[in-house]
Amino acid sequence: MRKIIALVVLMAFLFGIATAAYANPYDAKRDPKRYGGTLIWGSFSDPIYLNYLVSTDSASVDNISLVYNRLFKYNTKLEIVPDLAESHRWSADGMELTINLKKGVKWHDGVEFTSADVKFNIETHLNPDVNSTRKGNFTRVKEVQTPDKYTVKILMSEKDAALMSRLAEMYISPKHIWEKVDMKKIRESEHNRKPIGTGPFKFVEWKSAERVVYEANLDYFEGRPYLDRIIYKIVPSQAVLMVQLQTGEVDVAFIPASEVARMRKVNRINVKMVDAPIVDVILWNYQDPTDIQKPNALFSDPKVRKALDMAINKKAIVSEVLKGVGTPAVGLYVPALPWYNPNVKANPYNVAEARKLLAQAGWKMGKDGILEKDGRKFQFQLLTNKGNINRERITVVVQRQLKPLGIKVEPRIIEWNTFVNKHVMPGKFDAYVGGFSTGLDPDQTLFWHTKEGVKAGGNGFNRVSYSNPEVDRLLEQGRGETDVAKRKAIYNRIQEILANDIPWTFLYYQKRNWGINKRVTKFNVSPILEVHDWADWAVK
Amino acid sequence: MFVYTFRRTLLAIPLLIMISIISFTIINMAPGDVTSMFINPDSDPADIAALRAHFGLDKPLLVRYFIWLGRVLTGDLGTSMWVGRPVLDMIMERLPNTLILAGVSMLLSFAVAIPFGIISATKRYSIFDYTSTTFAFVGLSLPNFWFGLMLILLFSLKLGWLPSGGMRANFDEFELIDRLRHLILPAIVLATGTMASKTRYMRSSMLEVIRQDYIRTARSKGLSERVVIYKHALKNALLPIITLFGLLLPSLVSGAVITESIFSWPGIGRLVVEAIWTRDYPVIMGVNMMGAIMVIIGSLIADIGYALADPRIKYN
Repeated sequence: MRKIIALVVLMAFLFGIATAAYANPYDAKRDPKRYGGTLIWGSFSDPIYLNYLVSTDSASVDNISLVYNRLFKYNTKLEIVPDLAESHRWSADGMELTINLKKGVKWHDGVEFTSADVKFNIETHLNPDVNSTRKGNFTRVKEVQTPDKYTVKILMSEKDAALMSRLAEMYISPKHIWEKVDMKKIRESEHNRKPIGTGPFKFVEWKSAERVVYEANLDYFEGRPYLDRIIYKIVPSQAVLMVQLQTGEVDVAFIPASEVARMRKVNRINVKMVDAPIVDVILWNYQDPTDIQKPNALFSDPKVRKALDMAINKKAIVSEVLKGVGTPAVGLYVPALPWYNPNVKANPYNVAEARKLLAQAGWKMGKDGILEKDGRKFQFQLLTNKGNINRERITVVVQRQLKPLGIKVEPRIIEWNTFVNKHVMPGKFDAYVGGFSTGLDPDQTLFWHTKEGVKAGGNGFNRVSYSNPEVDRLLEQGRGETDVAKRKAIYNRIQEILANDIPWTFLYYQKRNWGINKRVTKFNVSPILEVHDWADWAVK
Repeated sequence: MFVYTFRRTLLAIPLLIMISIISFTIINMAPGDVTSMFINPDSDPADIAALRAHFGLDKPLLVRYFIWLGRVLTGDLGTSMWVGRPVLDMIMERLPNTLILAGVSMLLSFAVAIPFGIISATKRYSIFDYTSTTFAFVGLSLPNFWFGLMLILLFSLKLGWLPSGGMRANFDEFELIDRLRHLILPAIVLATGTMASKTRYMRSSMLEVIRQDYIRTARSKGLSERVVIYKHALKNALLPIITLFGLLLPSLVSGAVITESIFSWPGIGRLVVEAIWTRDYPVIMGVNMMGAIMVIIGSLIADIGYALADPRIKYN
């Protein structure tokens, strides 16, 4: 008993210090009773680099979001708001962006954060020695100037409306640490494993394949976070991660769609579903897999693509494969995004109409029950990568759904690396089931522009070599348009054209399902993925 | 004996080189390489080429092999292409964890298998024999992932007695009880699979021994059954088990992918599987070579142990 009293007194004392010493304007928003506690965040995979300059995987970026800040971030309405920036202003010609920074922000080692850090980060992403995967984000930046410690000027070589969203994704690493590292060997640096950031949590330790531990940054510029600690715990088996969520060994984890119904019944946890900017699709190749210069005998005909789009029952796929956790898709723009065009509608599920379209396209039923045209049977391999159970199941469901129309589908599941390098990248497939994460910016040049296609020698996601000159022109226009309303009109039009051309069949929008222990009394989960103010999370 | 050991060690060198050539060729035959983990679709082909050149992946296979071999001979296993850390560090970080898990499960399986094998042999066709044989086969056929999950569901979720994974509680540094609590389920899963074959080995080798003339002689001398079995028969019946032990030695370091994944155990198995996914050649080669060395050491130990246990065997 005496021990407990002593502890309470000590806690009260520490509290007094904490609240007295950090008189911060943000603290006024915070409820002092909620401070303290540890949150355990469970995930399948180890992070790789705790440094945005070189990280590529989502586990790393999740961890980075605890330690670092960006210039701008998204609020829950998905608007871009200041983070390390105080304000920003575009010049009238859209060729110069001036950013004013917050003053007095400190790195975890006490050094002040300044405009030089911002300049260093953008320049490092562009440095050929670094081979940053984000180089493409900043290729239109001509120069970064730092007129003073708290002002950054970005001069453009070409207008780029996407720059603001790129800056809202870029977590800033400290110049004073990284400038001493040989940029050719940046991935080998030990600093990748002991990050120094400006963010709400400070790095404590990283035990590979076990956990990464963080503690509250008491000097955080938005006031100290509620939590004392966050532990990022690595649990490679999804089934066991769900057990740990149920036993309380883990407080927060993503729940796979197949487990949502079951986990909802668990008393201890809340299930919170959000839209993810991820769409699962079937890509119909416009090119012949054996010779990409020739048109595909099956799918280059727009009537055939439309027929397939109508014959595939997306609702049935959502209920069967995702157990209802998902929404049938219309296009590659997710409804939760402000860029979504609600006037574009998907083709209705209509097998009779699909049959008619196929007949119009010249496909006649053969003796063996398979459609034929000019001696070619309507049969093809539907590829997907091994390891994604949903996609593996989709191939079988599609096989079953298309069979009554006289279309023979052979599902083929291929190991990831082989799938990408031998089939997807060289365009050697008839059709495949894939999933795409679009990000929050509406620019989709990578997906639809002719120059990104296999035929044009591009490396983009346009592996089927879809080509429409109007779409190309609109995409280029949209990238340069900094006026949000005008930009929206451009992307509305693109969505209309795509719905008409049907280069792909859009199956469904994925959901992300957070499982959160009820012990967590305050959490911040936005309507779309990966936006969370960790400083605001609290536990009982 | 010394000369024999020395000669075997020398013979191991060409063997290791052969193994390294074969594994180097095989892993490089898999499509793709680590650069596909780094590049974006909007990456410039020139950037990809630069990245390949940075990792030395642009050189012909043979040249790459000799570069790798040259480094290994100076004691440098290289740097992981994916994680950017020295391969040796990555292995050494995981090796103790794998050793603990595999060691405990091996002890556990021998501790059960030897007495069970003996009793099954001496009380052949008894109820005990049938039961233990049945259990041995059930254990052998239980898939690790299923058995592991069932144990977790029972002992962690339903009963709440044991943690469902990991190697230690979140903050505590090394503490024996805590470590044992985390060890017990994965060790049981790993031991169960191998217990079966060991029990069968022990049983059949015991059966063979107790039919020998000298056992009959010992019995006719009027020695008690206990002395006959445990003093005279056991020594000889253990010989094949020594071979078995030598053959099992590599499993101490190779890790158990499935069990490690189910129980979130940070061992070598998970390391190498991740390395294969990312085509991280230096890590794959590092772990492969370590495994190869253990196979050679294991069989050498088995041979030497054999000679020590059985005076009839002499190596020249």
